[in-house]
Amino acid sequence: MRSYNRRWIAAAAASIAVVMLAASCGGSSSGGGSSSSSDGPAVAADISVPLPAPLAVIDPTVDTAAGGTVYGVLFRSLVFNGLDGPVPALAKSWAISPDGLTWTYTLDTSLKFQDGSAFDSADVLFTFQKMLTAGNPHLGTLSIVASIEAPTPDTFVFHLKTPNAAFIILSGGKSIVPSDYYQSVGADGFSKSPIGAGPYKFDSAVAGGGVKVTAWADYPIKQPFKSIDFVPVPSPQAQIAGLQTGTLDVVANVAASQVETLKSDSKLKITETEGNNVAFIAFNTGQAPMSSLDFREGVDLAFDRDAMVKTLLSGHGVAAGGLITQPTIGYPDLDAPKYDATAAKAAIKKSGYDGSAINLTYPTSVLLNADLTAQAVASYLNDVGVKVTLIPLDYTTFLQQWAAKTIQGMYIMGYNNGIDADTIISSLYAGGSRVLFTDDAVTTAVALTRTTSGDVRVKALKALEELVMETKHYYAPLMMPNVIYASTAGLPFTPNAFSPMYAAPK
Amino acid sequence: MSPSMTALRRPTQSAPEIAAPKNSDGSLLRVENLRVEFRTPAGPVPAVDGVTFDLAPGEILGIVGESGSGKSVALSSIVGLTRGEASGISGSAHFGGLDLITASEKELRKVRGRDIGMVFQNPMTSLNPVRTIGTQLAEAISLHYKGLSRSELKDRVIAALRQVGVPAAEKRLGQYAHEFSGGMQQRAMIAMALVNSPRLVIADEPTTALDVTIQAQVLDLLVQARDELGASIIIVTHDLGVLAEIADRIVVMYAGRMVESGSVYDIFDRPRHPYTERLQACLPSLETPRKRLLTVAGQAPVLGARPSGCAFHPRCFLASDICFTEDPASTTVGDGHVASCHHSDLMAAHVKEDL
Amino acid sequence: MTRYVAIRLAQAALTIYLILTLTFVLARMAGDPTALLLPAETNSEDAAIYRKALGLDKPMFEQYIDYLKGAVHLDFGRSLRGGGPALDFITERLPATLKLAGISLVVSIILALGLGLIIELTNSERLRTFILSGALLREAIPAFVFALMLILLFGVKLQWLPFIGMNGFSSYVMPVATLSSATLALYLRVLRSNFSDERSKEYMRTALAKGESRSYAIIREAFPNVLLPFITVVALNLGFLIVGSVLVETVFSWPGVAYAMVQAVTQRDFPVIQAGVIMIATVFVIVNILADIVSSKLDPRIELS
Ligand SMILES: Nc1ncnc2c1ncn2[C@@H]1O[C@H](COP(=O)(O)OP(=O)(O)O)[C@@H](O)[C@H]1O
Ligand SMILES: [Mg+2]
Repeated sequence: MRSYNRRWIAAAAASIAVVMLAASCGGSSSGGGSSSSSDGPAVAADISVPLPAPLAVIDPTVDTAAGGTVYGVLFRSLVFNGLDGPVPALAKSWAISPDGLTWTYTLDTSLKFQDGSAFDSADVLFTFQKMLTAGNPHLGTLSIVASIEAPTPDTFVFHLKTPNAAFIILSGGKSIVPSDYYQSVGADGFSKSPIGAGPYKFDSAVAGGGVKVTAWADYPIKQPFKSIDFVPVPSPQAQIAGLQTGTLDVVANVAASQVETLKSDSKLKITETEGNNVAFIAFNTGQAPMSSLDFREGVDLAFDRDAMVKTLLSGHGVAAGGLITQPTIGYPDLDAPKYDATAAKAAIKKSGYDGSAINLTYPTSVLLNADLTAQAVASYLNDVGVKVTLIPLDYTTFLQQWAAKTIQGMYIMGYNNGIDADTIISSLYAGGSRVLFTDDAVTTAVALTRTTSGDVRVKALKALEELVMETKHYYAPLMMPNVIYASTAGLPFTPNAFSPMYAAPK
Repeated sequence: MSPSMTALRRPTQSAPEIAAPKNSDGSLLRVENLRVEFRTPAGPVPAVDGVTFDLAPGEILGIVGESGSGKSVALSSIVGLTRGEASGISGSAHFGGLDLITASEKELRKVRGRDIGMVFQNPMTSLNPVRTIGTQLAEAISLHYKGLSRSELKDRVIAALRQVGVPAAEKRLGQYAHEFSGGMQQRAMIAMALVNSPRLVIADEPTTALDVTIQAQVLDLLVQARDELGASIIIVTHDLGVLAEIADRIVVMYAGRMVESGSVYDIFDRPRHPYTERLQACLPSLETPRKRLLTVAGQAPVLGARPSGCAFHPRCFLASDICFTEDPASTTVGDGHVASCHHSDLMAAHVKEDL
Repeated sequence: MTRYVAIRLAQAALTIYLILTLTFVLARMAGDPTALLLPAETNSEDAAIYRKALGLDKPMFEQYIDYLKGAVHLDFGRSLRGGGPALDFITERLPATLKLAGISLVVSIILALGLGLIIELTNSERLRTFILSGALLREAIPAFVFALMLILLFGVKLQWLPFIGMNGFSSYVMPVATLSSATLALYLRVLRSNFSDERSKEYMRTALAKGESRSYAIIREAFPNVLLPFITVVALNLGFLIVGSVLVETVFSWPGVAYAMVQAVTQRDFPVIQAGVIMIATVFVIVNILADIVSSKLDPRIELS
């Protein structure tokens, strides 16, 4: 039962984190027109895609979980968070007040919902009012919102408590629901027959928490698939088996160890992209010896990260130089620390570490290949004279200790970057509920990333990452596993970590 | 006294007969040299050896002997019930011209329950606890007489229960063994044994498990079966007093062998084996209450630990050197009176003295 | 009988009450769900607001009373994840689980009784060894692995049977085979020992003395007696079926309660967990009462009182 849970969480967490496939058949520029068909699909197909967990409801205003993939297909948001940053979607444009506290979106009211009803700011207001209700899980990402208003049908305004450049990602990514329809059918009615403005329309529920969607003819970009069946298939093994028999067409998060076998099957295509998950070590800097910069630096230098990628990820990944991953907006591209056992030993010696064993906690799931990774870490640390006691915890227990900041010593964790670097920043740098250090320099650097934009922000992000990693060694980043997709050969898609399986604006 | 048993005639459409009314020599059952071996860790050991007796139609034969002397094994082997367990069965048991020892299982099945009815010691456990008395009785008929209608079957079952004195028989058909008293259970068992009007009824300690007050009633039923149906009866009992009253002939068994057999008078008045005499010594007088079990000083040998020579010698007051070494042969000591004792003549003298 | 049913229902109600309480205690002991429900970047103030909105800030006892009040009206609240009524989430899925578990139960009983009878009737030591070692081999393989083996062979290699979801008769074959074969060895052992007990009973001698054949006596006389303890064992092992369902539903993407429950547990979705546990417990209790009634119908010695 327990090991089963772990498998499930691993599959679920990984799958939710990485939206599965993209049909980046080139779109036109924002706002519409027909797509160039040259790199589009030759034949519109019906495909089946596994969901790692059944959908309890189909309602993006109350659910932040399993629906991620499905919501991206059924609904549209104010902006589309693409690979190269946000592009207009329901909003034509946006403006930020000089103090960064007022965000004004100009809406494209020529757009319609799938039932033909018109779209305007009342729909946006309704959606965000729901999300800002006490108890709504969206509150977590919208916590900096002070108030909202819809002054005209085509304008919508957020007033913030503090400025944050990443707010475009946080607010712009929320699926908008049609206010009139939602209110007329109620929450349960909406969930049974949802209507959005996304590229695919709700067709029917699939037994056991799946959903079938069909391409919406009025979506501005032609879609590569006629229909998509989202079928709940929780077992990763069954997902692969389904792919091999042609029952399923796309499987995300294929285990690295399976890649070679699947590659030999000519009916399948394997695609690999950089992932947005990072494995790292964190220090409880309130305790000795982790409070010592020398000690942390020593630990940081103790790992042969390339060798770890080779053995632990079968080569399907990269050595990490920071916590922000390649596909994430604001990726600073830091080099991984050089493996230097001699320097590591010297630094640790300098720190005055007395050789007593230090707790090394890790979650047995979510962190990829958890037990082996933890053992490898312990072994490298042992080589440089650091003794650790491994403490494996089941993910939920870990999560609670983590949130309560009660983890002693050090911990290893695998964490998913969101779309924007701010996910990592707010949870691991900015003094939030999981941060085990206090550092004014970091606070200042974080603030800079939130009050700047464009190239300046990218620079600020790089500076922040360098400060946290290379100067202060608050974390020792380890590896970033690739995301591996397997799909039926000949499907028109090029997956990446962010584009869902519809033709997206660029 | 129960109503007349004449209602227990066989159904008219009778199945082809397997056994004739009697053997060619006029007996109903003739057992010769019956030997039954069981497998033990020390090799095959006979539990019954050299048992020989015959039974005339309408005769009542009593078998006595201490517990473990092989009475049940001998009787069940006659009807083939030990075939699964015994490692060797030899000798013969001619019943109405058919040798039951060599007969096929199929032939035996036709004889069992139709020509030979059996009654056992423990009616409670001998009846199936989860099937109604009615079903079990009806099955006893329908196994042998196919094609009887339900109502015919039911009538016969009710009649059979009435014959053995089960009151309100109709109501009791649908009841289970546990809803019957011990006496009523044994009546039902007897009804089951008599339901096809058998030529032979084998009753292995039919009263041992019953209340003293009921024992006589149950025995009466068996005598009645002989008197009214003309059935022969073999009855095993520890109660020599009972045998004195009802049996025509008696077989005494000790350690798997017959040590003496003869008429009731031979056995009671002229015992020629010391064991028989000892058994009688246990017989309660009118003043002392009946004892339930036979008690003879000393221990009966256990299977596989048979003493040399005469198996009874360790307990025998007449034992001499020869008894330690030589197995005594069966000798005819009177008309139809056989004993296996080196000192049967001494016994004759000894008994006379007593008189 | 009515009195018996009344008493059993009262017992069942007590059982369910205890399960309700236990579920509540265990779920709350497992920790605060907000850590799992909210994104990592949520600050503690917002988490507190969220906790309050869910009523998780109230004193435990008050939460417990609210929870019991709701349970009486079959209201377990709304799913913390999806927002829909927790009970609906379970009841929608219950039929799929009941169908799978029910069919598997029936198949496992028929399989065990059929094979058990064949073993007894032929009385062949070799056949017995063959069947039993097959069943033991199956027992030794975890359900999860066995299911995957079936999928690889009949689903992927031979492509005879579907293995994703519940679509028609053929989709039942592998899940039912997995579930019903898991208990086969146990059942065969139970049957074997019960049969050898019954075979040596005196009523069997009576049966043979009546003129029954050995096979007839095994089927008509011993079998009804063997059935009684067998039903008890089957009823006691219903728990296996539920644990098995969790794995089987997951591997075969079965749209049942079990894997929705596993998901709810990992997400600390209390209302769904509670609704699910209560539903399963209720089914369990009902089936146990039914088993009692059935065995009492079969065993005239048991009086329902
Ligand atoms: N199935 C069997 N297997 C081995 N030994 C048996 C079996 N049945 C009876 N015996 C042995 O045979 C002997 C005679 O038993 P039995 O005929 O039952 O005695 P009783 O005279 O009391 O009826 C006993 O020693 C008993 O242990
Ligand atoms: Mg006996």
